[in-house]
Amino acid sequence: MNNSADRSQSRNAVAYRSLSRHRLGIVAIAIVVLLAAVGIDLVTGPANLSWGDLLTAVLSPANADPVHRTIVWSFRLPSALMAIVVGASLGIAGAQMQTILNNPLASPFTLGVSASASFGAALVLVFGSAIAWLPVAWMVPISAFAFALLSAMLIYSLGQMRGGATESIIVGGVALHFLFSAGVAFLQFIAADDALHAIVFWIFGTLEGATWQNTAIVAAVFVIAMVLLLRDAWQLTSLRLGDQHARSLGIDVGRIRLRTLVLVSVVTATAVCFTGAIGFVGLVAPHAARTLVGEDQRYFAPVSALIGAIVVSLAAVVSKVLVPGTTFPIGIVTAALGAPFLAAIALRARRTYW
Amino acid sequence: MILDAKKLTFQYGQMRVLHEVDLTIEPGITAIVGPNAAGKSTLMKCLGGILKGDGQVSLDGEDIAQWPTMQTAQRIGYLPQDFAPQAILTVFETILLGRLNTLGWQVSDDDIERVETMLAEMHLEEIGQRRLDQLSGGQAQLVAIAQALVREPEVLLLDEPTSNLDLRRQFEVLSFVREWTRQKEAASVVAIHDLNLAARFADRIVVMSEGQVHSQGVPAAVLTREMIAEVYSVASHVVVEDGETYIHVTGTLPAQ
Repeated sequence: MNNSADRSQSRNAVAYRSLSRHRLGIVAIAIVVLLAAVGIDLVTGPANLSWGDLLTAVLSPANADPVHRTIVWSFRLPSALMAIVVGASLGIAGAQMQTILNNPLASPFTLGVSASASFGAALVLVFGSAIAWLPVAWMVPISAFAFALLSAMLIYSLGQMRGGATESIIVGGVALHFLFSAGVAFLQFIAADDALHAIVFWIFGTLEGATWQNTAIVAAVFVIAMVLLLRDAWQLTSLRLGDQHARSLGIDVGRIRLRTLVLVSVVTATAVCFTGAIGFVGLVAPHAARTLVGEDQRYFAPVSALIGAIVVSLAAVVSKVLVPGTTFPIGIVTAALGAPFLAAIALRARRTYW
Repeated sequence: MILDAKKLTFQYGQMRVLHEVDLTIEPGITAIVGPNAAGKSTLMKCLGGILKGDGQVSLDGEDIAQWPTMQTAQRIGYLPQDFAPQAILTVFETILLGRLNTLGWQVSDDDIERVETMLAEMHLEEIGQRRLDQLSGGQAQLVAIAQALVREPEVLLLDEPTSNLDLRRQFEVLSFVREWTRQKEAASVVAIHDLNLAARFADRIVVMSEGQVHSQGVPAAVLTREMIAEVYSVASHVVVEDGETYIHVTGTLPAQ
């Protein structure tokens, strides 16, 4: 009797430890897959560089063909790195929105943060000449950032008016999404041809504007937010037991929800303000991460970010090879890849989660 | 160990739910009974520091309102009513979260060991690796209790812990709570509807009615035909046999 009890006890501890190792393994695999995706992204493009050219240009730029060097260092590397940090930002933002709002449909895209960023960008693209004191190239991301942040705060205050109920935050977000989409449509309607083209391109999302500078900004914001979020890993995990339960564990639910929402809003706003509205990544990445590693945030958060980065990197490859000679807007690719993927998860796993 | 409430008053907006409740909780099991909307759940939340009303709740003379929430959660294990989370967490992971106070980035062997012990004590070893969404209501309830106990509180507050359980599980849960309470010389407060279960398992019974303490004491003294008629508006026979109190409800009375 005692013997079997001893065996069972150790059995659960052993199982827990092996589950942790298994999850670490998945993190490692995701990193390897990401590196492979980034490699393919770097080697893909109209200039037809070989792997050898690429490696020479990256590892010993002094010995590389100057044209290759310029292509790799001025275009391919910034946009490949931007793909990583934007994907990771959207992945973690979606993951934490789903966590704090307790809703599987929460993401930067569905909550209207992306739409309001688009509106901010379109506003400058249409009326940009009226604001002469800063170059339009800077005003677009600044305005997009401001509107994205504004909408996130609006969503939160809407939710607060109803006592912080997550349902009202979701409904408020969906309403904002439609409101700002209507605003963008209106701006498109009144825009001149060149501004219209710029708006459409922005809405679809693009990595072509990536520079070392703006990539570094997105990366820095992502890293800081990630560190802060991981410090709250256990509390965020506990939130998924429900508000009442989280509170009974001693968690100040309102405070951690606000703090996390602010963090992910800044992360989302920073990511979308330079690249436009790259949709579905923030929705799909956390779902995939959840099926792979569960909801222990020590694994769930990094894996959501990694999968987001993988998805955007692969989408970048597809966007480059889909129509030879031109770069297809990446947002169309992520949406086209993401939607069936999400549908598949939802149909396969309805019982197993959410 | 004494949990003491003094002039505890709480209102949601204009609706007063608790009115100057004075209550002293001592080691042993205290059952809180009373009709719906009598203020049982609110009282439990105030005792657990989840809600802060007017008046004072103190544990061994220390005002719990002065404590950080983590300390309150550590010393007073409050378990809310419903537990049906959709989280993708195993039973083991869920109980581990009960040790939130001590959890570091690396889960320590000590924390793992305590979860193991808890699983064994509550006979949950078999479902340790099962996911929360694959549990029955009764199993989920036991997991929630395990999560409250694993942080080794001095007071355990259970809000209707048996409401989702079948007869056998109700009995098992309350037996376990009684055993734990005696072994640790702790205090457990159980809000419960079933007067017969309350009579069987509680050392003391507190009857709540319209936000106030109607009566309190040992089961045989409190659970009388008159109290039941007055508080619940039902007619009953109360039988005391071999020191046990049995209540048979025979009909309703006009509401007072």
